[in-house]
Amino acid sequence: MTGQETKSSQISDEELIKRFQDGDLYAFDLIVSRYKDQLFNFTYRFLGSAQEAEDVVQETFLRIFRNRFAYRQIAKFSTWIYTIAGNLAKTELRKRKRRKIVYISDLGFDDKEYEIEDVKANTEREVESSLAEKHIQKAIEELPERFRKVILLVDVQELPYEEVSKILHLPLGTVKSRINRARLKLQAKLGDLMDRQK
Amino acid sequence: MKICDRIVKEAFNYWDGMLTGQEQEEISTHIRTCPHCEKRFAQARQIRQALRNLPKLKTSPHFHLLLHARMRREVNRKRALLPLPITGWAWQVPAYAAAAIILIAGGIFIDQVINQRAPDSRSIYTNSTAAETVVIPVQQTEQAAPSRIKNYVMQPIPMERLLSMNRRHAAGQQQQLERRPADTSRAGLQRPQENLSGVRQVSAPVQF
Repeated sequence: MTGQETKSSQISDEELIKRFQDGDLYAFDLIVSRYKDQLFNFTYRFLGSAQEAEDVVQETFLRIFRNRFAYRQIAKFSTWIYTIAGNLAKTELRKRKRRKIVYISDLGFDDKEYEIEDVKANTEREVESSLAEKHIQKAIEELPERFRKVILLVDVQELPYEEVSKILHLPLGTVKSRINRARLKLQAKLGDLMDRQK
Repeated sequence: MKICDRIVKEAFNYWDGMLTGQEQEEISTHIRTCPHCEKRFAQARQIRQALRNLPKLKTSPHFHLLLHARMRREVNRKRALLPLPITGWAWQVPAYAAAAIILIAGGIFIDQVINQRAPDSRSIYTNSTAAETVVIPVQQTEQAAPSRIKNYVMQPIPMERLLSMNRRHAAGQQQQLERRPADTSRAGLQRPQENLSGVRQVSAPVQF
């Protein structure tokens, strides 16, 4: 890691957006690098289509670029960006329901190059893991929208409850009860798979 | 079984450490004694772990390029929407052009209005009493005497000529009266005179 990278990683999101508001485009690039993968994971798990997810992430950054002065430092930047991405993903999902198109990407990954971190060396385990992942993804997609969002933000993105409550504009108690119900629903769907994996 | 259902519902909160000390302790004791709840608790832990271990995907390598292209398009679109920078006299060109268009349009409009009104306001005397010239509309005269008067041209009568005509007429009248003092009753029955151009001249009331 170079000295500049170390320096830039120490700058807070709020400081970066402030610099961007002052006209520093490099600060915007840093924000993009910091959040693009996080947002892509969130939107991909929510929508189930890599192409759509990437479009949504692009649109999220464009919105930030366009409305950079709308951000006030009273809220965390991550809350703002996740709110925008979540709303756009929701809109995309509604559009898709209207179109009623079945995407090939729903069955797996697209032709586009999406890098997956290679954690396991064992091929057999990789296949098993990939199958399990598909099952989990399918189970997430089958959840009602309100549960899906909350489980992705808390369990996949690992955001604190307080931040999720702000992103979703819900009281903290509602978030907690929703996450519990969402997990129980997932457990009902994935219980057998978990038993097999033991 | 009721206690098992209640405890299973708290499984995730138990793993997240969101329960009070007493509740945590109660559940720990129950799991050790109930194989059904133990299994459910194990599942809950696995699911939580599986969600956290989902592969972290990355965007396509050309994500930045695409985004920059879209940003450039956005900036260009904004520039296109903005008006051109106004420098020096440049603003005067459209201003003068607009003024000229308004003037021309106004002129055309006024001309049309006058042309439309002209036939409606036909009268024998189109001038006011204070005017310097008297105009006899051609059409009116033609309608009045179509057989005798043809090809009238609308001509203004100069005030000096009108006055001299008036004076001559008055002098003529005077002479007639002097010649025939007894026949005064017919003095006002003279026919209007005609000049060579064919314009019917009327002794218009002239005020000074």
